[in-house]
Amino acid sequence: MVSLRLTNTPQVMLFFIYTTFVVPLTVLIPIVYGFKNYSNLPRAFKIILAFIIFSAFMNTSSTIVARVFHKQTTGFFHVYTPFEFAFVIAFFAEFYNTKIRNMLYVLIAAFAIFCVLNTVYLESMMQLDGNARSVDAIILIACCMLFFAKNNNDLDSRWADHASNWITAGLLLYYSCSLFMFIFFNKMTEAGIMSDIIIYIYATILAIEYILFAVGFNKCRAQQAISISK
Amino acid sequence: MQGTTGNIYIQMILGMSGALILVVSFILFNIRNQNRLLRQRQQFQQAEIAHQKELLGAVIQSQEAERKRIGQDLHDDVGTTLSGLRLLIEMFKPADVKDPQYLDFIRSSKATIDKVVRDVRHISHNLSPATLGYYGLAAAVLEHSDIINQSGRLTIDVVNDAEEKLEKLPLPVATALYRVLEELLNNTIKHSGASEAKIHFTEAQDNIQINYSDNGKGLSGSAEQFKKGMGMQNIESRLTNINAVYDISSGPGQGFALQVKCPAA
Repeated sequence: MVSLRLTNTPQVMLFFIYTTFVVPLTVLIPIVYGFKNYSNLPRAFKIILAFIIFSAFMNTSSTIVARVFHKQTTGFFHVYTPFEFAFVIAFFAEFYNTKIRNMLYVLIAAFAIFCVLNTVYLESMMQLDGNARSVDAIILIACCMLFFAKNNNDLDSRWADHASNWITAGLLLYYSCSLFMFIFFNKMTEAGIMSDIIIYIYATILAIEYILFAVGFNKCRAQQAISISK
Repeated sequence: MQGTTGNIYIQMILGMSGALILVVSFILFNIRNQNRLLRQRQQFQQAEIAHQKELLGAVIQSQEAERKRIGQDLHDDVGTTLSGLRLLIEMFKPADVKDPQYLDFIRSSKATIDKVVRDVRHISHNLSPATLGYYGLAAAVLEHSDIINQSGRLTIDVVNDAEEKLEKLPLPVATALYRVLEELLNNTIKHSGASEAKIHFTEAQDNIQINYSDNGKGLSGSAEQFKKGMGMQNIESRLTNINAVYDISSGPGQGFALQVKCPAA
């Protein structure tokens, strides 16, 4: 969900095409791979696939509202953030035992309440929910790190053969790099070359995240093939 | 105010770039570390397998040495003593040479001693075929096949299209292959109900290939079940020890076939 300004220079056109069409369309890559291997996808990967579809839906809605109705779309983030958090935490929960899983579900509920309180008392719908998104990113970065720490002891196969590693790498890359943008987004008041660079970096990282998700979905098929040949 | 906003943008870009570098480095280190640990574990497992193989080799070697010693003892000591006993009975002169009881005793004693000598020779040969050491695998297999063919229980056809490579085969490898074929022939005689068996030696690049087949009733269970049998485990351990691979093809009523590929050198 990227806001941008419109002028007529070729650079701005390129920026517009890249951030409005190219990057949002990369979401189709993991969706195609996800549905192609749907029968082989474990539950955790189905959650991520649902998250990507939800994300694509929200992004498209936001773009339509911004471009067609020329209305502010910051409110979309207030709805999007708790759902995003819920999807990603539910993905990680699948890799832990029932006790930790229940704790993570409580965390989802607690974060949803925090998001509502943030919207009501701290950042209105007219602003980006920077606080909520920052907390969201910090918790998810911690989850990614814990996941890698847990998986580091698994010596049954190579790192790249674990589909979940690719998904987690995508999440870690996206939330780590976007954290600074989430923190300072409400302070980005002036459009210019610097804000364009930030949006470019953000959009590129988002595209990389989707590609890593697609690799993860594709690995699910490869893992299945290996177990059959054995 | 303008300067503060500009600073924020620069800090954001720096922060995002820094985070990107950190995350990519973290993931790459993580991949490297995990792959290195995996490689170390594989090396450890390979070393363990090699050690197990060495132990197995030592066990087989000492088993062969023991067989050879027992075989030689049987052949030299028991065989010689029996021959001496036969001679002694022949030389014995009773009061009445034409006594029918004496003649009957002589005949039955000689027949019994001849049978024991034959059996001892057979056991001695089975324990350690001297032909294997002197004339190589093909000759030993031919000799063993001849003995079985003479018994009339099974007709074995031995075809040797790998003469040159078989002659150069090291003795431990030749012994292992001989034991494998011996075990297969035993299985055919005991369990298959086959009337014919075929052993075909061929050369394939740096390998010797042995195709063993019979026209028996074949395996009723799966090849995996068959592999769990004691005889087959013996075959497998001997073949593993000489770095040979094998492939079984069989089915109910289709006979039994086993193909062995063994490095020639």
